Amino acid sequence: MSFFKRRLPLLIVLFTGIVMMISYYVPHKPFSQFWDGANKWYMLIAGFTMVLGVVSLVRNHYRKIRQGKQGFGYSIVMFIAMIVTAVFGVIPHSESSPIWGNRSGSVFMWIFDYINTAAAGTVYSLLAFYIASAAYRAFRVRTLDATIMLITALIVMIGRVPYGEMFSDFLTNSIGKGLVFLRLDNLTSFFLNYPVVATRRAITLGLGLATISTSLRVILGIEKTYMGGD
Amino acid sequence: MIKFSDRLLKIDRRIIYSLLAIAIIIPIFFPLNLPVKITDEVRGVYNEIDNLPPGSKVLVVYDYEPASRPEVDPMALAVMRHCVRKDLKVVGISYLELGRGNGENIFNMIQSEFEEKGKHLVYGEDLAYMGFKPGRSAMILNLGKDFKGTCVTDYRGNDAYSMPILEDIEGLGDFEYLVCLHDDSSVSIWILYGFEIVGIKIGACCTAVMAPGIYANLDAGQLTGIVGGLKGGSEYEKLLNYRGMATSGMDSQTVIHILIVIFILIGNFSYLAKEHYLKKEQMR
Repeated sequence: MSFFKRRLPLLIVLFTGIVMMISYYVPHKPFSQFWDGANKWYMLIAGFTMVLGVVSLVRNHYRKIRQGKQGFGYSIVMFIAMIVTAVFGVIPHSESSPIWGNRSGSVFMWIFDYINTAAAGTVYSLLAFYIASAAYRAFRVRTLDATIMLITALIVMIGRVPYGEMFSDFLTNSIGKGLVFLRLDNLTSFFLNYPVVATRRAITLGLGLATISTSLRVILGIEKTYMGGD
Repeated sequence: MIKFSDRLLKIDRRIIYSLLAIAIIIPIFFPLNLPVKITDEVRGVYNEIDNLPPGSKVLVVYDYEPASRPEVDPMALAVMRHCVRKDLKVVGISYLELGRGNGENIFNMIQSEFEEKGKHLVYGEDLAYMGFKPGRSAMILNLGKDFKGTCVTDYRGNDAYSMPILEDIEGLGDFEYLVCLHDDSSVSIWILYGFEIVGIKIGACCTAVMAPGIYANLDAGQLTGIVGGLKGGSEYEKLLNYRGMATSGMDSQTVIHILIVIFILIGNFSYLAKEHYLKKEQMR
């Protein structure tokens, strides 16, 4: 039992990991065939994960309703929304019955446009209000780091809108062309093209190295948390 | 003075929210018609599409969720309008489950808009939308080798093998250009498996919050350009000589940026004034 539960999955991961690594650098048969096959399998499995997601969602919310847990009403709403959307979306569209399917003019697209998009857009746009309030209350020049961040943020915020460009035009025209490097739009471009790029590269390199080391740990069977153990 | 600073620091959040709401709504009804300056990043995407010969094939990727539609839809429309004006053939695809409806909407809007202008676009010949395909990185790898075999059918259920627009498309490399409309880091995956393996040129159109993160890719030559947020969208609209949703949205965004800057300055002046007077009192 221990072989099937513990060792076999580790052997499959070891074999797949090593062969996939070789396949990336050796694009010839039989490795290229294995590479293509594995990628097609991955797509199929990814499709099935959605079914798994639906099953898990149904089980979770069904349990909430059956046990009458707090907020079970939302679970009922979830079931109604899921069933209505799925039924209207799954039945094929035809010229005689345009309300079915996922084409424009169908109930599915109506739900997408007027419920999904509207609700998601509302929640997302609330961020502007929270950011404004948080900026007023918490964005303070308490330390040197915070001051540098605040000044940079102010320059980028003004430099990215037309008023910033107009203000810069006014400054360079009235003070002198020699100060062109101090234009807010030029400073914004400088921040985005140099400090941001440098920082981003450092993060990306760090992430890449971390991914390689984690992948090696998984392939070699050192990291086994994906199997549900420790 | 301390009392005044304290009062400013403890200003009711409802006042901030109300001022913000007014700043958003007023420019919508009374446009400011602010000038738009074109940046090199946006010109990078525009020039790439503009220099393609008629009949070239462009793949437009709809990798953004409905929440980002107000920001990304104007760019999607601008890019599609540009492609159709240049007589390019456009194929759409989505890598996100929730992005598929966005592509369907944009394709329909463009088709009916040009129909009204007298330009008839034949679905399957001039444009086609493949919809959502699962598998993320594996999907892109498979598209690179066998585009039709990976898609199998389009969003409307048509057979990919029988679509004239895909006739001479074997893999991703047969497209002349790829435009990635995104609100997450999906463009990195397209760069990794599209640009690096197949060699397809990529232009990014993304939300403003995602743009700074991909300047490193632009600098490395992995992207031809970046159209970032409403600002980038308004620049693209200006290049196409029309005033669309991005340009009108920029009016509100400009006022909000100025308002937030004022909030930050007031907050900090009040904070510094309070600290200054508290120190003075302690000295006494």
